[in-house]
Amino acid sequence: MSSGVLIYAFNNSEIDYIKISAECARRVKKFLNQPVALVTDSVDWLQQSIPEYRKIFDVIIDLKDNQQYRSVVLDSSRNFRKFNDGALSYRKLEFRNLTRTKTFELSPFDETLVIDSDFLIANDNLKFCWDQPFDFLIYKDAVDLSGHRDTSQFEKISDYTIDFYWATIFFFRKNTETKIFFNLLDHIRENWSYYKMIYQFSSAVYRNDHAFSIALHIMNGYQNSQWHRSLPGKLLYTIDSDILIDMSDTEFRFLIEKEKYLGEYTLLKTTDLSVHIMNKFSLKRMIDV
Amino acid sequence: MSRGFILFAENQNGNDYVKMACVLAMTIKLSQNPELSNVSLITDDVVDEKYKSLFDHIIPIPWKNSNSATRFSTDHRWKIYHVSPYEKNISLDVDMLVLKDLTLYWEIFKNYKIYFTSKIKDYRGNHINNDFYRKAFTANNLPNFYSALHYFEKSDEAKEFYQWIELISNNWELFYGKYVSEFYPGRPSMDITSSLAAKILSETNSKFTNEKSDPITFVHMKSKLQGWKVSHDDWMSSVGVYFDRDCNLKIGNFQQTEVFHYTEKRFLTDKIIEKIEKKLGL
Repeated sequence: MSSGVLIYAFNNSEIDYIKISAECARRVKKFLNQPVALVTDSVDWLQQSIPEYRKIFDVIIDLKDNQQYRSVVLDSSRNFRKFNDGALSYRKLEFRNLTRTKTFELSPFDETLVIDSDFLIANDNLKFCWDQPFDFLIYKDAVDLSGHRDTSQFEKISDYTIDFYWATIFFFRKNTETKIFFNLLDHIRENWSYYKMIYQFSSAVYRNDHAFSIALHIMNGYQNSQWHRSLPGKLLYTIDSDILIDMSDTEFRFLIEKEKYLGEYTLLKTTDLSVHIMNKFSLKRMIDV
Repeated sequence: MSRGFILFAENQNGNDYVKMACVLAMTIKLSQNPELSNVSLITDDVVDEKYKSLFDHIIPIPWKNSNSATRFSTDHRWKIYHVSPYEKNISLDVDMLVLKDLTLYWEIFKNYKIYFTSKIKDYRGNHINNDFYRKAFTANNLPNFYSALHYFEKSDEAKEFYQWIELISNNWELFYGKYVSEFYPGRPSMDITSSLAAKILSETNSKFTNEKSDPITFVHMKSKLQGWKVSHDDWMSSVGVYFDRDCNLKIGNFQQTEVFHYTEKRFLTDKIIEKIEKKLGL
């Protein structure tokens, strides 16, 4: 059985996901020793900005002029959301996240770990995925490294409905059931308004986290059950109001926004911990250093 | 030894508890093995002719001294022990639906003479550890019993227990004043009375329940128990009810697979009743 890691990189007007993906892939190789596939519509930029890209990415899946995925790539460009760079600065940019539902067919691997490019690995815990028997692993439990923020939006997709799951990172093994899961995910994306109403949440913008949560709930027979299992440990994250100010292979330093003091921060260092870093601007700055 | 479900219904305040009992009996017939689906109803009210066949026995409420009705008929509930035709009984509140096979419950009950549910769930399947409606239990250190689903076997132990239920029910102000002085309820409650009887009769709750695991449970739909940050007094204002032709019930987006205590009387619409009747062939 083939195994590997899949990363998506769809640049918008300001965020260079290609560069962020390269850093993510470099860490995959270092800590997980797995081949990496990149799904993107910016192959020209990849070749231009990262000349050694063939050493970093084992497979490049180019969706730029791919007719099969044209509509979903185009629709992605109509999804906008706010991206913060620390507590005081933000931009409203394209959020090109719709292709995630096509992962089953896009992945060249039988056993795939899919990770957001802004999830930076700093240990080998995720090797566990390929050594365990369950066919779908994902995170429900997460830790906000600030320790003080209201995390309710990451606990339920709305107060009255289902648990929140993180599409940031997940593992799947190709089989009939996981194929059904991804078909279902696609159906939810295509009928977003309907599911938004039925699951009582307000986000007009399509969110993979919500779609995954709904699809998992349905796969579990509309109950809390165990069709899926948890990835090891908990997902650690900082949000885009925090700022990454330094990083090495195993250490990250953040400025974490203070509670009740807008624009002020507390210094935080992590060691040997993989972290989902939502402030892409600061992440890109650290990669460029 | 005979086994069956014993229901008590007394129409009050415009609520047709007898009809609720009939619907509950229908869900029992639909969900249980035929040999474990005996149901009897204790009531003084009229049972619609078409529902009578659901019950082995329709038993009048005995030993009535007056027509004055207490809320939820708490002054009559102790009588179920004495008039039930079964040796082994599961007693259910009538505003419930049975949506699962309870064979395992009967197996577990073999180890007990009396058993009270002490762990309940919300509609999402999470355990409820919230005492919003049960301040008196917490403050007075009463066992956290729910009489809405309980079991008894005709025996000396159960008889003594129900004698205490009778005594407390008939003198509830005296007993509550002594044992439930914190958050004094102001009116009798079968849950408090049952918990109090258990506390008087035994130093440990293990004689009456299993507090460590949750084999016996039900979904309790009181609004403040649902784990919502914002809740209305009426849970039906917050989440939808979906009841399909096969009698599968979804609350919000959650399939219900336990005994379901709906509590809101408007939940039981004519459409739901019609679907259950159709499935049962009534």
